[in-house]
Amino acid sequence: MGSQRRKKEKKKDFVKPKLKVGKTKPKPTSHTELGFKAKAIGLPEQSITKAHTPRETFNHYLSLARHHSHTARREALTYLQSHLPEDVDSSLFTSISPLILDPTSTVRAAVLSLVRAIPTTSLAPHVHLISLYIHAGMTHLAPDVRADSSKVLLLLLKAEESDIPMQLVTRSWAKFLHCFGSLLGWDLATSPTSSSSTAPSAHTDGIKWNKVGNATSIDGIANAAGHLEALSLFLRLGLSDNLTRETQAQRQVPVYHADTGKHLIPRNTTAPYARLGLFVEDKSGLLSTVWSTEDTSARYQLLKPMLSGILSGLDSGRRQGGEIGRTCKYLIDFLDKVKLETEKLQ
Amino acid sequence: MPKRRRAALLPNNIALLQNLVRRDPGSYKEEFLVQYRHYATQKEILVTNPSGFHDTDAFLDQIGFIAQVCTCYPGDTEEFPEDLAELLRKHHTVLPVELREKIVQSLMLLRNRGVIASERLIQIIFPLLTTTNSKTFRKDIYTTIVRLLKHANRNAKAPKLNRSVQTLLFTLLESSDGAAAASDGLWAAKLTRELWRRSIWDDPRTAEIMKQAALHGNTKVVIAGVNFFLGVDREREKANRKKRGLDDDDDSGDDSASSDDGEGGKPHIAGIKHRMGINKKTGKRARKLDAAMRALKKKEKGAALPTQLNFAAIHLLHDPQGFAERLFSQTLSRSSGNKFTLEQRIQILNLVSRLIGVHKLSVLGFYSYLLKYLTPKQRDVTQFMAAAAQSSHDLVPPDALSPVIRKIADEFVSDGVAAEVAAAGLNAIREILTRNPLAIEADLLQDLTEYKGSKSKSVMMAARSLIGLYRGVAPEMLARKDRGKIASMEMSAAAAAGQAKKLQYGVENVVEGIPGLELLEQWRKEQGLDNDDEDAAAKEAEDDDDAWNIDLSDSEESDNGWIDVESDKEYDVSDDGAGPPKDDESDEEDDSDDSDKEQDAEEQQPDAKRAKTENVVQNLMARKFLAPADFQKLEELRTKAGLDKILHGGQSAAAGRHQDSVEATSLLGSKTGKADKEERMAAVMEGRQDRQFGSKKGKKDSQQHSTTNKEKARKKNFIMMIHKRDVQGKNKKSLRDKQKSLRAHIDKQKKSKRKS
Repeated sequence: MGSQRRKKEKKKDFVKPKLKVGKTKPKPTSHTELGFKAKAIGLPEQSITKAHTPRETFNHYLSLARHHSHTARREALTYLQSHLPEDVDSSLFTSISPLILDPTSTVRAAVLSLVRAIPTTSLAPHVHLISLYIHAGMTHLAPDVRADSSKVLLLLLKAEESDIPMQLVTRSWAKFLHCFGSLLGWDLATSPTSSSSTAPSAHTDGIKWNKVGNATSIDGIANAAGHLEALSLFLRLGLSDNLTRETQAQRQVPVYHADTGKHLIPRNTTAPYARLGLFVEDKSGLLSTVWSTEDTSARYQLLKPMLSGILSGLDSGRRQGGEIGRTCKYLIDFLDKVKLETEKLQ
Repeated sequence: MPKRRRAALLPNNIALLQNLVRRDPGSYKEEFLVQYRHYATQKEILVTNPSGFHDTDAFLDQIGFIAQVCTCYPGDTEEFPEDLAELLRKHHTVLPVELREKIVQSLMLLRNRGVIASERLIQIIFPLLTTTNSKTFRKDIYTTIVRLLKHANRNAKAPKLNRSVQTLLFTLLESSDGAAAASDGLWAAKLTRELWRRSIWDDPRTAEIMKQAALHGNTKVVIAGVNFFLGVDREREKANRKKRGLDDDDDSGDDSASSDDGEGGKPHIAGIKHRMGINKKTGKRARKLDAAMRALKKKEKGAALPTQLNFAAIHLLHDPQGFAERLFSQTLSRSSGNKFTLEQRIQILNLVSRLIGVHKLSVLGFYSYLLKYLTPKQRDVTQFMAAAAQSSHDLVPPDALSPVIRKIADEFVSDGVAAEVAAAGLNAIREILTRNPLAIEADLLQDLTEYKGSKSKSVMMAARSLIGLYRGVAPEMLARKDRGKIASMEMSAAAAAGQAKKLQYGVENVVEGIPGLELLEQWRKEQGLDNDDEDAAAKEAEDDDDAWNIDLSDSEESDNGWIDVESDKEYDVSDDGAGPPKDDESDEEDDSDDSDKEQDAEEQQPDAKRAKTENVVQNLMARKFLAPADFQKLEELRTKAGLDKILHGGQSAAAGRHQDSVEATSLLGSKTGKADKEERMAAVMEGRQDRQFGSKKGKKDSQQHSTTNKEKARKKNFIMMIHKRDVQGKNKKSLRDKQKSLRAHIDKQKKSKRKS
């Protein structure tokens, strides 16, 4: 019955372990080590019956805005939109503004509608952050992200009864212009050296137009139209506000001299002494300029070197006709008018 | 076709864009600028809220992309390196780990591309080394810095970069108070040590940096500095040897690593040869073998090359006297308090004593400091005794050293103590006296030499070595019976001449010429080698051939100084016939002189004798180049004549020895008695170290190899084999052959059974 070896092995199983004095009892082979070592033990709340406050749920959905699944992100956004609290704090903006760059179009649309739903008064303090993401979107590598970027901008520019448009115009004038340049495929090279280093003749505007604005397709035409609309609004706000703003200032201080408004600390800016180089932290960015963009003439000075590029771009756009052609035509006229006015002033 | 082209034109991922930009920077400038603007925006977003930045991956790609292509647009990306530097500097604590790494990598890339200077890179990342609290990041930066310096110094030294980094390290070590000073100092010391170990830095400035570390306020930094001077040169030697033996690990990527390289970087010659035997013979394979052989030869040649000249760090110090004094007063003297543990104090003591010994300094407080510790009960007392020995040299005033000797003699060498203790004491005294023989009085010496009759072997040996030492140096201090024959004879001869040699403090013994050369001259004459006939000259020329090519492997002392000289040149060098025509006359004079000397060597006046030997020496040295064989013969003759003590026991030897470090364990003397189990096991294990046990078959099986022919034959189907001659022949064998093979089979079976 069985080999010698097997018998031996069998026997071995039933040998009683010898107990020795002063030694711990040997553990059986089936013994499982249950001890563990840990630096910390997390004990999360495990009750599912506990009711969450609306604030907690809101925060939960805020964290879902970074979920890896795009449906989850979109749903989180819709929830946030439907449950917007009275006082919107910065955490909302820090979590939703990166979604302007989201690779999924539905999410981007949801962000757009959410931003539209937020009252302008609570939006105003966070415009800078959002505008940074708009810049990132306008320079994004993915074409559809780029295409959607100007929609948010347009939305913000159209915000009424607030200083949001002015903030956008004053704080990042040059940067937005550059972004529009790259968005529409115009060569806005400011310095003569860089323009000579590129090959402008090889890249005719038409090709550029096709390449970036992608205006040949219907979708592309719509995109370009959206960009152009945003640009025209942006330029109008930036270059023709002198009347409205100064009259506003005069209206607010009627008692004193008519020019008092010019000598007051400018309102609606976070860095009123920026032109003196005071209390400004970031000077290394692309928009670091010698002068500030607080007033129209300064903005025009910034625009001036890019003007020829813009005009030629607009010209080729006008030739396409349609809605784009109309907007271009309008913009060309506007820019000519501004040019004339400023030169007259000087 | 147009569609495809448009796809190429529209880069929708960053890798594609990078590729395109690389190929044609001019055309894709617009796209690049858009990306650059995108990067700038991302950076701004990051800066507004560094800890809440989540879009890391995209930003990483952006940074990598711009770093890769920014050489194409130098004008537009001027600010890029500084941007990265500022990001690191301001936000390195909160940045995501991978982003931090990427930035450092990109900066390294920019340096490699020549966009930023090495100095600038060091300036950017060096402060992070001490400020960051992430271990991995610190390690990263550390390796980056080391690699940077290594690359910079690879072909030729980069003095500018080295100096700037050294200055940085120096300033780090200079500020010796404050919480950050300790970690700053430690990192500086660590970096310096590593660079020294790799022979990247080997200049006095490095030694000065470590000197500064040794004088630092923080204990750990001090010990790091001290350890550097004590141990780093041995480490460097080891690293160099390893480098010569094997490929440097870091550079293995640069070398074209062929698949034939074995583990140690050596090609498997045997393997290639084996393959040559089996595979088809092609020119390519033959060339491969040739290349492998060449590589092997080159490697062997490289291994045999003498090491490059490296000065030890301790020799490169500027002001060693000031250093030793400051180190001693700052760390060891009572005023500094007991900041250091005993082990640390011993290390510092070791360094101070080495400094004193190597540079012959005079730090007189040191010897009185040692006195306190020289008792048998003191822990690690052998280390203290070793320090005492290392710190003595011939320029120490005997008055300073004699208390140490007396203390050791009183505490260690008496009848009441154990034999080991006495042996250790005697050995320590001998080591001190070797370096400064004047530090003992004659009566104390004679007391100590009495232990030559001790029953303990180690004590007896120690006492004898003391006697041997003084026979060579100052026999008059020994008891009469201890002096020995030769020393007594010389003493009496010197006394007769009226110029008894006496040791004096501060008098240096200058050696003129090669000692014992007259013996060689005489021997040559006896052998008839100095004859003038043509035959002898020719014969000598032949002899000289052999003389230059003696086998050096068995003479240990002179094994590495000599490089083979080709035989053609030797004739030119050692040609006696080409000497001046006066040779013959001078030789005749020599003859007459030597015959005179033989007749009345003892009776002659010593002055005249000395003059004559000088003459002889000069003659021989003027006439002949001494080959290694001649020196070997000279050595032999000297031993025969009993003159060897001049070399081995005399003061000249002591003068050379003051630089050696003293091993504390060597002071214990030879071990007597049975070894205990631990020692026995250690010896056994040492013997086993390079041997392999187990069956050959098991080893073979464990190695990966293809099936051998034997295995194939064994596994072959029997039906296939049945008609072969090998099998059929078995039937046709003669009866005798059958019987023979059967016998052999039975024997084999029996053998294998016995084995199992």
